[in-house]
Order: sequence, then structure tokens, then C-alpha cells
Amino acid sequence: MKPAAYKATPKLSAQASRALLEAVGGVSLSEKRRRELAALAETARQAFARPLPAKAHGH
Amino acid sequence: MAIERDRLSLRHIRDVEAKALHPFICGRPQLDEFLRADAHNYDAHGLTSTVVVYAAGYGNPVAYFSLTADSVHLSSGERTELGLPFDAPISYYPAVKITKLAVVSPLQRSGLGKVLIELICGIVSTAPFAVRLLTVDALNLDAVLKFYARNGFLENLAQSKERQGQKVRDSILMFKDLYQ
Repeated sequence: MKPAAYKATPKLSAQASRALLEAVGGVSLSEKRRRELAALAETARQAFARPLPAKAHGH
Repeated sequence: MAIERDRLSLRHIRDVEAKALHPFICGRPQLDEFLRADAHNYDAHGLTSTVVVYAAGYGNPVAYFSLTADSVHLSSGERTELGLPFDAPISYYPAVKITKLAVVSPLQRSGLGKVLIELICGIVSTAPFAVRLLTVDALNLDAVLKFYARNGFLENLAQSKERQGQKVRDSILMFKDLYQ
């Protein structure tokens, strides 16, 4: 039998939930981070549009 | 050799023929086998979506990653509005799980993995639905855990303590906040 390809994320324990809330709860998206994510998204979009290397085959 | 972002081409698995995936070897047979034998089926049935990575100068795929919608549920005692500064009685954070990420052996330690994490951040952040966290069940190996830690992932606290207590796990759940 094959191993699972991936697992469901289990509900966090109380301690882990508190740690996550402390790390994430009060944070909203800053303009700086919004711009970073937008730039990364554009990079990804360009990579999807870029032709494959000349030697790539099977497409 | 470092590979720069602007030398990469990405293709969804459904646009890549199976024979093009046969040469892929990353050194972990389960990851190689998944790409060659299972990735198309998992995509076709809506289980996990795989992106194949090409690089200029390389005729075969150099990496791949797979993504699946996920959620991170808090324990019932901690559903205190997610710590938000407004009333939002939500019990989980929306997330995307990196179910697979692999780089061919010759390009490991080239920085390509870091680039892929960055591209994943960009891809999921542009979806017209909310995603706050990336999750990954990282192989419980120092090199793998350090890779994700270097790229902004934090270990699930409970599992981290268990690991320190010598409990053996195959994988460690880790999170990355897209907003930080």
C-alpha cells in the first residue's frame, strides 16, 4: 500500500493555538508586504507564460 | 549553480506529458514516484495540484511542487476571535498546504527551493479567495526542517516539543504567515 500523499492538518492543541494566535492574530497586511506579494505573483505569472527551454520535450 | 527567477518556466501538470516526467530524480523515491505515476491523477481528481518547473539550459524538469487547500483549526478554548482587533468569531485560518516540493539532485542547495517558496507565496496570494497561512508537513530531517525555517516557516509548537522529547514523527507540521 502506498504511503499517504499528504495528510489533513489536525486541529491544533491549546498551546499551539495560543502560539499561532500570538504570532499571527494581531498582524494585518502591510503595504510593503502587499507590494512584495504582488511582485512575486507577477514573477510567477511571467514564469507560466515563459516558453519552455529549447531542449524540453514531450509537450 | 544559482538559478534566477527569470530563467524559470512553470507549467501545470495537466499541460505536461507523462514521458517528460520520467527523467526526474530528486533522491527521494517517494517524491520521484509521485511525480511520475500519481501527480496527473491527483490533479485530475481535485486532490492536489502540481506545477512542474523548468529552467533555461535544462531539457528536463528541474523541480515541482504540489498545492492543496487547507485550514488550520484552533482548539476550542482558543477560538477567541483569532486574536483580531474586531469581532470575528472564526475558528480557523484559511491556508494552502505544500503537499510536495522537490528539486532534482544536481540543483539541490542552489537556492531554487527558496525561489519556489517565494513563487508559491505569489501564486496563492493572487487567488480571489483568502489565504493566510502556508502549511507543510516537513520531513522530520534536520536539513528539511532548517530549509523551511530559513524560509519563514515556524514549527507547530506541540509537535516541536514532542520532537524534542524524542517522540519520533515522520513529519513536522510547519506554518508560514503570508502576511509577514
